Amino acid sequence: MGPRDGLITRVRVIGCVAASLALAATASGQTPSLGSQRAVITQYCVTCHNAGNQANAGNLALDSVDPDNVAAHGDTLERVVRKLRMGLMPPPGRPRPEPAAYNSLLVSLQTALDEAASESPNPGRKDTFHRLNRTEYRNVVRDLLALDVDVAELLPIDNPSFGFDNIAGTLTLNDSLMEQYLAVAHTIATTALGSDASPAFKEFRASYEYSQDERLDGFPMGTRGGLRALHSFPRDGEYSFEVKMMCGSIVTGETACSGAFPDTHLLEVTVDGERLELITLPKKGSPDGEMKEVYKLRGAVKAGQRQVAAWFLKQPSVDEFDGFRKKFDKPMHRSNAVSADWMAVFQPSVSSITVGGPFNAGGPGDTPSRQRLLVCRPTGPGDEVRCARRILSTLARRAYRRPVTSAEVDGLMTFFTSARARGFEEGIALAMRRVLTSPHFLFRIEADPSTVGPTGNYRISELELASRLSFFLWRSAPDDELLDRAVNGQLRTPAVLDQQVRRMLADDRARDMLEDFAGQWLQLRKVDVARPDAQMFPNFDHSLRQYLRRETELFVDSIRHEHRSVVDLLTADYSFLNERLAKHYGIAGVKGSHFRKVTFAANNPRRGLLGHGSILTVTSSPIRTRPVVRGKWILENLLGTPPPAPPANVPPFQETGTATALTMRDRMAAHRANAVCASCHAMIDPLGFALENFNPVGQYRTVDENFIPIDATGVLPNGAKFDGFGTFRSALVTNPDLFVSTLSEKLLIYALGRGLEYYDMPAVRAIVQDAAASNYRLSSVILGIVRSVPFQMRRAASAVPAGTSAAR
Amino acid sequence: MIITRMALPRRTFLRGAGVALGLPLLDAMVPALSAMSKTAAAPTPRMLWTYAPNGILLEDWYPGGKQGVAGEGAAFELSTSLGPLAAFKDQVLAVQGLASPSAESRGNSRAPHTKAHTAYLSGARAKYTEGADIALGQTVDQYAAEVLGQDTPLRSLEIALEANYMTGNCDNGYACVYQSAMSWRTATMPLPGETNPRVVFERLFGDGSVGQERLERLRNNKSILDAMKADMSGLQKRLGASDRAKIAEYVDSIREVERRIQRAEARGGDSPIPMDRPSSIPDSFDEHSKLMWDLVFLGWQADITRVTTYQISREQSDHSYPNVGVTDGHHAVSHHGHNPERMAMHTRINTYHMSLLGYFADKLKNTPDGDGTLLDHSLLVHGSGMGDADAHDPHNLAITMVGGLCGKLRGNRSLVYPVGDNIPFMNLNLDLLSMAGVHVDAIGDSTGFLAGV
Repeated sequence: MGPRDGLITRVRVIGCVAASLALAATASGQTPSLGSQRAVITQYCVTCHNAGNQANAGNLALDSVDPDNVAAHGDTLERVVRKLRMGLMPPPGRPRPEPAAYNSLLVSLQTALDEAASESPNPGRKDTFHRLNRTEYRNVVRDLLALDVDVAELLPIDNPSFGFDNIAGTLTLNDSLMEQYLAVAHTIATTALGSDASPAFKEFRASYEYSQDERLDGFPMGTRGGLRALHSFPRDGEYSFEVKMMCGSIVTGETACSGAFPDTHLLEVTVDGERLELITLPKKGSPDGEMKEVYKLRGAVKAGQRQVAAWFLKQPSVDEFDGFRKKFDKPMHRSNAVSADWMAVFQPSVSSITVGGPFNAGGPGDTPSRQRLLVCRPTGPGDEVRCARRILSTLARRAYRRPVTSAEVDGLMTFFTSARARGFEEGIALAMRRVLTSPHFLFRIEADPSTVGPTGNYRISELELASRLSFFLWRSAPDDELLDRAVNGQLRTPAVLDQQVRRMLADDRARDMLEDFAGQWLQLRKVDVARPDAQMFPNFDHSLRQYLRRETELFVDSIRHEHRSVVDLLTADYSFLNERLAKHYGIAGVKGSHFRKVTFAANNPRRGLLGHGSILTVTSSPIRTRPVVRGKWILENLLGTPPPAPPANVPPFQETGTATALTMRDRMAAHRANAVCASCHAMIDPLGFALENFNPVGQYRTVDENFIPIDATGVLPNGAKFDGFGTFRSALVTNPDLFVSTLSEKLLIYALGRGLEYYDMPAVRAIVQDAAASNYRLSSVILGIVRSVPFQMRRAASAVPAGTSAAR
Repeated sequence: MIITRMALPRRTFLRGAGVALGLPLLDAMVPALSAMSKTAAAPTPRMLWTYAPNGILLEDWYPGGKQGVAGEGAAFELSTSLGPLAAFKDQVLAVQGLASPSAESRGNSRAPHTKAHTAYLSGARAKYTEGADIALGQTVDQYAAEVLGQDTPLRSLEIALEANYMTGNCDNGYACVYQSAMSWRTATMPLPGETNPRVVFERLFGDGSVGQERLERLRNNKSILDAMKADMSGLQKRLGASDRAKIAEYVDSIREVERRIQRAEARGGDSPIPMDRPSSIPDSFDEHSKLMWDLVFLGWQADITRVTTYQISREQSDHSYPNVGVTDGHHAVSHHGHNPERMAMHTRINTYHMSLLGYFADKLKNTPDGDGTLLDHSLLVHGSGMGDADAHDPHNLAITMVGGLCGKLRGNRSLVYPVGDNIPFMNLNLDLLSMAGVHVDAIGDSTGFLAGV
């Protein structure tokens, strides 16, 4: 019981710190108890929020809440906190306490809730079975076997809940998925060992919308366009490469390569950057013959995963000649543009690469996967069993993320033995398939200790903690060091825990984690499917889409590796641009396709996330901005105040049918004309209007599509006025707690793999208050999460099986 | 065994069944085989339900005029959005006026799109949650699969087209799976649609291995599944009562995979592999959709599966369709506010979706099956969980059916039911199931069989 008491004490300390920090903001120096605020609550809240009027007041009654017993009303009071911290209640037009009294009530309320939580914490209960999601599966296999598998081709998409695709409760397993796991396990075992020497062909295709007129991000200097793919070469041997060219336009139907171009082009085919062949693509009427659609070549390649690429060597003369094409950044050959007039093609591009082989296969080589997996080689037939046991127990420990019993290894050896007749490695392969389909691999399983009674709180085991840590910070399994710390019982030592977190945060896998997190929190994943209208935004293409997303990913990661405050996410004076993106934004002086840090002046609208084209695009329709979507996006993702669902039976908008051009504000005026709509849209719409200077693809504008000047002024829900985007951006972080708290909530959901409940909010406040001391540095927010009650502990199941609730 | 081989020739792609002969397991499979041969002699029904989101513009869908008229033969006129089905008019039945009562708001206004989608094939109301307690009801296709799918390697196939879309808050506190899964095996087990053609290919035809290699792989998978079951029973002892239900569900899934392996083995391991394995999701929606239809077709033709759901796109999808001149998002267009231009765009989307159904129906029509064509023995049900999407209205649904259902369903007509009667769409489904030989008395909010079908 000792250690558990220790943790609870710590919680209490955090609670007090939270209170005192919040107190600093009040004049009194002493937090009044919530009980002493009874009169304020009665006067300003209960007038509407009482049992008799509940139905008209957000289904919230406060007359039955005893301020001296907040523990009994945590759910209700956390809803109150959410409204008060945003300044949403009492509603406009109703009497409201003076700011100091208002703040004092909020502080008393939060302090009372935090104290109640420290008296009697509820760490919540993540579901017992937590299936690896697709991203985690890929990462785990990468770390387990030094093998990159393209999971998008092998496993289905995971359905998100609470905004994230790693929620235990909804990551379930059905027979179809189980069948896929069986198939993938076979693929992985075969690929890792290089056991399949029969020739196979794999085609890699370039996206339809890919611009190949410039050097692509990550391609070598002096090249243009091309296609690159990671391919697993199972054996040392000879392989065939078929590079298919795209010369014309699908739209016009003129796709022949013969005689298509007035210049000669040079196509270089490489494996891991080493030239396999340099092919000359003859110009029209060349005495060497005409250009072909497909070029075939062969080459010897060593086994392993290697980058296969075909690109063009850049020829400046062609670019300069091509004055017309320069008007457009979008590829001309096969876009989804509606007009065929644009379909002028001046240079060839790569359409696909098909790798075939091995032919004349040699051995499986000494690939990183084999090195990682085959930790020994049998010295002779008599040594096979010993060596197989060693290989399989090492694999199983890493795969199951815990020490394995000798009975478990015996079970794996049965599989080894049954396939041994076909060779030692065949035996290993079959046992591997068994490991990769075990529930101990596919699921993270957290079990209630037998010593804890129903609904009792307990600290999760160190092994469970190690997995929680690594799946949070790396979206992957613990590495050997982390696992060892847990096995040795050192992980809960505060210094060790901090050191491990910092070590993990410094790793590239933490960068990938942030990319995954931001892809969901900020909805960057939607950039991939954004389809701005091709006529209105002719330059929007796949490359730009990637660059928009890349900018935000680099920016978010800079907060990590530059050890910055998370508040910088909204206000930083820099971002990451390349030439194409800078051009899209109208920023001069950025040359080349590589991303670099660009610093902005104080009045530059590109400061902070809200100036990122990625976010502005995903919150727009293909043809217009959507202030309601943008406003809602800000409320949900930055300010932690999701607006309620629209009421039933809202009459649909009637278009007025007038010929005069309406501004976005005019169109949205109907929201405010109807009192039912206005109650929420008065809060939502102004936030969206603040971003009206950005068009549907995130370009800055001062007039709308009808050349009417943009009016981006407005008032925040708490009454703060802004005269444009710049002041709006600053106003969002006047009190950074709101934003930091929202980010912490999202990170905590992501870290735990479950939705948050009212009883998690004291932990969130503690995380924010602790991070305040270090200027809200990202690492301190993350350390706060790792140390928090819901991350360290779990509540045992109740005696009666019951579903979890999703109170919100 | 000889009977089996004789029953198979209509599956054009089958490559010899010789390997099967030596299989020791085969004797145990004889009952399944004879069931199969029976079905080959008397054509078996195939059933498909598609889903189009965001409602259907009724004015341009009503057969025979603005308010819709019941009619038959010459009196049954194809409207604009039914136009793509002209080649199959004899086998088209349009039903208007039915409702999806479980999608009504009833004082809870949240997430009308999610409610419309979930109620459509379940007749049930989705539980408001994002957690492990998601619940709906067994969907009509899964009732069909219980009977029609019992002898086929794949009990049912679930297809969707929109991948990589869902992120953020899907629909006001409802789990995203409610929008991605059209089919639910049980009230708690959603079957999300598969969006990747390659994965669909592998579900239908395996990983490309054939003959002895494939049988070997199947045998190994069986012993792996045995080990999984052993793991599960180990966990059952270790974990508490509250987790047992989950374990039972997983064990059921393992058993289902085992059954599927047995059926595959019964077919001799030599499964038909009629096309190259698709390499990835095509960029173009049209190509993606058609590739999926091709796969469904091949699965039906080879009798690998007989029951399919196909979600053309997801509720609230803002996919644009420049290929038919619609550059704004689908959801945005569906809230047309009676603007004629936007209504016309909505119809173009509806018509385009109908043309995809026509693409599939055309393949079926050109495929001989027993005494007729595959289309004669199939039923395709196309619709949306909303009628007028501009008002999020789950009444007056536009239901379009194509196919003869083995002579049980008469086409070339339209039926009109009074909207005020609020007759559940699920009633029609009971009739359709019954015609296919699947006898179910009630599903979700059904109130009985539908008169007049």
